[in-house]
Amino acid sequence: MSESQAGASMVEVHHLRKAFAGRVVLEDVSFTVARGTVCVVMGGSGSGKSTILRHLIGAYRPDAGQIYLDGEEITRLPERDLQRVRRKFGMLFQGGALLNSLTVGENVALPIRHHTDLQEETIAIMVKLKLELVGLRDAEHLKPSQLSGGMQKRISLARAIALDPKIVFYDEPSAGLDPIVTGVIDTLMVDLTKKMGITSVVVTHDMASAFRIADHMIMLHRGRIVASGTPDEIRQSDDPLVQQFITGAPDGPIPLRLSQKDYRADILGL
Amino acid sequence: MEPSLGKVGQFLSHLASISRLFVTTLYWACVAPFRERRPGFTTQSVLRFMYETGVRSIPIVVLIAVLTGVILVLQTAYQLRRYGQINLVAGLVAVSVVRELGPLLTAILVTGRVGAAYTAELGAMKVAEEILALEVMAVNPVGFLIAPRFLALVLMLPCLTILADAMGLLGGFVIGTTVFNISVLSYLNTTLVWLAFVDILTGLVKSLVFAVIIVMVGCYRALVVEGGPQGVGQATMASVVTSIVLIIVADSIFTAIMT
Repeated sequence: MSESQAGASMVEVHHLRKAFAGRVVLEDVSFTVARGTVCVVMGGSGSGKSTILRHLIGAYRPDAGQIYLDGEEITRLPERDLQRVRRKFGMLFQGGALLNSLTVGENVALPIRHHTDLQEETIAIMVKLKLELVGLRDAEHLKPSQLSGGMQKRISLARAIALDPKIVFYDEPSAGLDPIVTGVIDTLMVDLTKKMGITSVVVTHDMASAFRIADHMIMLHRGRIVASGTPDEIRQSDDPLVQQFITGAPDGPIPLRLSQKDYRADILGL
Repeated sequence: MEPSLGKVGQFLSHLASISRLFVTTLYWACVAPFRERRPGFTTQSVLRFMYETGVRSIPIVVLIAVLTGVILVLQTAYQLRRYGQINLVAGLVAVSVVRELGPLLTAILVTGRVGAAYTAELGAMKVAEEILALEVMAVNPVGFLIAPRFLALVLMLPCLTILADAMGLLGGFVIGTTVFNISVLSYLNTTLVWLAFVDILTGLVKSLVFAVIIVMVGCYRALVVEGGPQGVGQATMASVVTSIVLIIVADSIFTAIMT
């Protein structure tokens, strides 16, 4: 088990490379996330940002490169050690990923029950505390299917932080939510980071949300990091690719029309 | 999956993965409760699945088993009457039901009722990233989701098979003694003479193997679901078809060995 050189970073990614069936999805991706900060990974659909997240949680193994979480290299860990590392982090899934057969309270209690020997009364108190943090204590006895999408995500966040993790990963936290609920989730994220010292890695394509929460931003395009810096640095970047992404211009370095064949030839069947 | 493998290669590669999953499941269902600090599933969850898969399958199993007994008597009596051997009906029916049709029909019914439900439920969980969420929470999905289903069905399918055997014999008995006027005493006597205890045991061992096939195929198909609701539908179909094929193949091998 090799130790990382710099102990100050919670997440370190070195020269990550991944290809699926010969198609390169990530190429030479390196970045670090300092303890207690929010790092936002941006990029369009298919840029490889979700793939990075899957590597960070140990769901994918890279073709090359290393990932250090809290100083420990995880890319070559056997399953049993990976389980131990996974107790250090929580994750908010895009769709919430709550277990529909359990109540909200049981969902939040699941990681606590599974990893501690606490009494039922203690677990009940912990569940209430976590639900209060996300403002949904009253939902404890409801089933996830009885809640709105935004509420499900808040419950999922409560579950992600149930065991007081050091790192929380967020996969598209604002996908499918209205601006107000997005604001609520953003505030919760920043609160958790600032008040509890949690390190956050957020994958998103919601620019408004990204600029609100980020301490550091990374922009991916076709599996490579094309820009990296503080929100101000990114905003002032003169890279047309970055500007297109921020302004949401339909045409630019990322073309509007993706078809390779000549339009006229295609239409006329030449 | 390599496209060059072809259908047979694909099937064999699936079979190998199912076998690996079976070994992991056996560990989580039988060894982990005594070795691991936290077994991953609770006794309540096993009981709940036993109720859902076992108790709630009783009506349909009873119906099918009784009717099978009835059909068998009608068919064999029709043939045997021509040779004046109608008293043999009871014995033939008893042996066919207990050795073959009881275990086989129950397993096929349970494939449709339980195997399909397992694939659909776990497949939907896979698509909704719930299984990945369990892994990220360091909760082993095999221990948490598959082991209790495995234990429940392995315990309940033999019970359902015994019930099906009894109901099949009852259906045959009622028709044999009423429609064909075989005396009650003669019918019971022939049944007992023809039926050996080893027949019942063979049927139960078969049903145990069938239960393993149904659970493992059902759960495996769910774990490899790709691509949304359509994927879940296809996986459920594949789960039922694969289970039934494997059950009948296993049955043929069994019968060839045991007879």
